[in-house]
Amino acid sequence: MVHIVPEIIKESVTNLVKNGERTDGRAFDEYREISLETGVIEKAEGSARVKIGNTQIMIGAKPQIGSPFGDTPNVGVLMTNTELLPMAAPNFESGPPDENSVELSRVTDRCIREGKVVDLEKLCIVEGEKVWMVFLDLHVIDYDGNLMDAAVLGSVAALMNIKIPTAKIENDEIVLDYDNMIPFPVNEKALMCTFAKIGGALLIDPSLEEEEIMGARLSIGMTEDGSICAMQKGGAEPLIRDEILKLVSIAKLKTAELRTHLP
Amino acid sequence: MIFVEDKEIVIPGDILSDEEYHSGRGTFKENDKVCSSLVGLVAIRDKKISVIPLQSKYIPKRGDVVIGEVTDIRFSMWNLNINSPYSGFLPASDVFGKEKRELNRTFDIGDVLFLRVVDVDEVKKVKLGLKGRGLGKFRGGILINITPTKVPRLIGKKGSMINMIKDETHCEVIVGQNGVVWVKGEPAMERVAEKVINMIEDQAHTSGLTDRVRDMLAKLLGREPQESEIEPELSDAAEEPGELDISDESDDIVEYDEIDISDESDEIDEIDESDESEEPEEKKENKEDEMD
Amino acid sequence: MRDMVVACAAGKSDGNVVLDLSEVEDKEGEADLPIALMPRTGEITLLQMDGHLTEEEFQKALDLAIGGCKKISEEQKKAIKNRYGD
Repeated sequence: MVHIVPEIIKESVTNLVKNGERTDGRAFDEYREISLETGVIEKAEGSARVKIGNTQIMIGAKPQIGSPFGDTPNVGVLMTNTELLPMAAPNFESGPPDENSVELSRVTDRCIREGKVVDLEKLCIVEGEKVWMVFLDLHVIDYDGNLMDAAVLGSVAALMNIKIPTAKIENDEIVLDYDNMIPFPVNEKALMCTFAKIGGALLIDPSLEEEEIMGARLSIGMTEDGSICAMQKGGAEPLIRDEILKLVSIAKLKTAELRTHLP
Repeated sequence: MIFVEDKEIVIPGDILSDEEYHSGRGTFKENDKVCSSLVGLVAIRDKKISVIPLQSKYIPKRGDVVIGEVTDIRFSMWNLNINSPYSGFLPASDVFGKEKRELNRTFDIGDVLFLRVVDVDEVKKVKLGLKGRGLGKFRGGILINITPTKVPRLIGKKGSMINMIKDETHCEVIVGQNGVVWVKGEPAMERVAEKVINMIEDQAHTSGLTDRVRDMLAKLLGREPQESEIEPELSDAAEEPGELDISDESDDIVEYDEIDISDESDEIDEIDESDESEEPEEKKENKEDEMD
Repeated sequence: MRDMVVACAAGKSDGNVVLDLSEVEDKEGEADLPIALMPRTGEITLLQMDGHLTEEEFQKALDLAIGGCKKISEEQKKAIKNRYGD
């Protein structure tokens, strides 16, 4: 995403920050308005539409029976893919995933996997042969900054939304019982909190404008008990140790806040 | 206040001084402190601190004399490798005047020339020239590459070091400011010179080098070091520790002219425009001779 | 170059916060925290974390990694000075 930001905008946003303000009037530790709906797509087993401010992502979660990976024969499979749809931003183009799309997939995947949101072992049907695979498809429909927090929030909601038939083995064959649907095994609601460093200050939930001029970014994934499961620093500017530790403690409060939006 | 000594080795990020000093080549300023941006030696001149790189590529400068190899022949010029990120070009007009000749009959790919840097423009296009005393094509000999920043050390004060090598090995030696050195003599002597030159490059920043070079020459030539024959200049050179000449003025060129290279004119085919009628044969002859 | 960047990873293996994970510790361990640092200023230019660390464990691991980086930086400087020193 190559986007040239006029120096004037960079200066004006930074000056506001130095005065303790943001362009949309938020506090440094305030999220924009969040909305989260699940079950929005009839055909998908699990789905969610998440909005943070004007950033909007549609998420589909599709379970399917397939073969496990060779090195983890008793564990289900999670695959995350992101489409940055051209309608979401003037500089998004159609085509294979670019580095931003890959980064978003990987960070979301990392948060969910390391946070053990899904008990992948419970997805095993026949060890070494058949497991439940779940495909998380993130479609970014509107980009207004901070895709990561939205992606993780929406993905967890979509996973919680899935219902799968119970799977039984009868006569060496898998029989799916559609009369007995069970919820997907989601045990941990790990969520992500992203901060931007602008003019020496740390701001939560950067808007598009803030993201375009920020010097550095830190995304922190946390589980319900306040443990860290994922972290990713982005941006060309450095952070110092104390800043990182401060953000960890703020993230603890803020992920708890985010969690209240989950069904 | 200064935190390092002159000629101390520093690395990128090392803090050299506070705001009392100006930042010179190889340094940058951060928060009123001058820091090194290279691996190199500190050079303190009055209130300016620079860092001279220990290893670097040659960056062409107008007026330099360089040794280059022809790599390509174009419609009206030759392209040369001058041991730099930037290649140089020699316009045919510099050699032929108004008459067009076949360029490859004069200089072909692989020929090694001794040239002057005529001009370097803003996009680093390097124009080379052959007009001048002692410039031209080399015949025979070997080429040795050293880091360009060590060239002053190889030449020595008033040519003392290079002359010592020439006298002891009876070789012709020409040093290009781009770090390419041409040596010609008896094959065994060429190897001796090569060893010595490589040693100088390796130890250019250390003290007592002149003595060690003298000893090495003696050893390689199989005789005792001849202390009594030292000219006063040489001992001056020996006393000053690690004298990597790091002035920004090109007094290297002045030193260079002092090394009498007129002896070598029969080893270099000077391009002489006046003898046009004779040229074709001359050139042919020279090309054959070149297959030493 | 403004500084010579160094990098180092800390993590958690077998319940203990440790520095410089080996391949086995990386694969089987509970957390992995690689960082990159600019030695002159101590600023962190790269940071990533996978796994499970409590707030305290994270601080411990971060400090271990920062210390590891400083040690590597000294070795880097020594190596260069030895190459060119008298």
